[in-house]
Amino acid sequence: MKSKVRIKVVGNNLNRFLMRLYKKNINIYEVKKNSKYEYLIVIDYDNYDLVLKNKTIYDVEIIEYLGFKKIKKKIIKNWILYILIVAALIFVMFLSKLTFKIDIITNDDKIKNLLLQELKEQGIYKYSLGKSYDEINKIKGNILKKYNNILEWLEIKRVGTRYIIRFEQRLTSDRINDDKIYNIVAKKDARIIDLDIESGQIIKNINEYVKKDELIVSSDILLNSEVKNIVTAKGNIYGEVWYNVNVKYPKNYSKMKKTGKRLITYSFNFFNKKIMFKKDNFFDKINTSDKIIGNLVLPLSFNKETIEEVKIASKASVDEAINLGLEKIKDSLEENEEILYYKVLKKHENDDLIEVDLFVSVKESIGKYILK
Amino acid sequence: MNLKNFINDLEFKIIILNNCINIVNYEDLILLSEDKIIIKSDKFSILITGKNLSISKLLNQELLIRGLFKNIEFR
Repeated sequence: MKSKVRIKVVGNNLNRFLMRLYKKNINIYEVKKNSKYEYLIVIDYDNYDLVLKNKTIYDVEIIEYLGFKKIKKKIIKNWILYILIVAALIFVMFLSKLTFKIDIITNDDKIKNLLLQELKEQGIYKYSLGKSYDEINKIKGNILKKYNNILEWLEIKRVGTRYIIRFEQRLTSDRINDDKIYNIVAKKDARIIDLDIESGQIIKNINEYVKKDELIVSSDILLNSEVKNIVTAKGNIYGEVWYNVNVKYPKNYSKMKKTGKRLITYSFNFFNKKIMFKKDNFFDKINTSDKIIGNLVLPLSFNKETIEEVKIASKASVDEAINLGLEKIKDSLEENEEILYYKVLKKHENDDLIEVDLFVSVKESIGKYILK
Repeated sequence: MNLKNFINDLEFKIIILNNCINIVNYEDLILLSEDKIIIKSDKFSILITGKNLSISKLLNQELLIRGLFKNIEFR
């Protein structure tokens, strides 16, 4: 693109001057008459020297630079401002990459401190640079591998300039693997139905009822009321635990069940537009989106999309309500734990709702290790 | 009209609007004054007469004249 310049020409008979420029093959892009003796004309900047050579008695003066020359002049004039703007943008982008807070969603200070320490060792700490999607996955894997006896599930999510850490504690990690001395107490009110004790003195036996926090296996080995030895209590204790479950089940209840079919693809997001790299043919689906590239400043991102097919069923019966209540309990059960029996205490049905009160007896692990 | 002409139109054209005349592919500008302008094309000369005639654009291929036009004469 050729740069142009607007010049002011002052003199008598300016048409003659225009003719002169024409004869010199100088293109005139615009002529504006200020008065009979003053014209503003636009010519190529390259021709300006030629105009000066042929100006003779006319006064010629540059009024304004146009095109690329104008931009160049403006940049030269305001270079400090532009450099500051670019530096500020880079600084904001840099700040957006920093980590200002790490939130670990838990009330357990011990695990919280452990995770903070571990994350620090893996490079996630306050004022550290944000990690990429792959790096976060790697860190997640490393932590889960290292603490597989404590952690069942771990999520590290970056939201803006902070990391939100969620985890699920492994319930079977009741067993303590250190050299300290522990007693085993009851986690909840129960009737003991199974005792598999490796070490320690059994205080409560099968079929005995225990209250929450009541001692079941002691570390003190007693003989004639005298402590002969102290060993850590170890073992599995199962008890019968009772629950009252109230289920309110809408008659137009819709249940979503994953079919197991899934599609993993990638998407490019621009403002609220999403361009998927692959399209699914699922009728009902759940879409989970994980950001791979993107930041807060630019409304662009590149995401990993996990699309899972689901089936939505609509049913409504008392049996369904009972099953829902039992399923809720089953979901919280671990290996070797089961529902022993249940009784329907109350059934109530109206136009919109089915309400069922259940009494459920469950076999579950009731032992809890506490330091002596 | 063949493709060559469509892309690189060299045909002489004169377009008359309200208070301006646009001339394309002219050969030469012979005279330029406030009341008279003479332009030469490959086949004829054009004499434009009027009042306060002035050039708004003056390029090798194109010319834009403004003013109060009285007469356009093809010679």
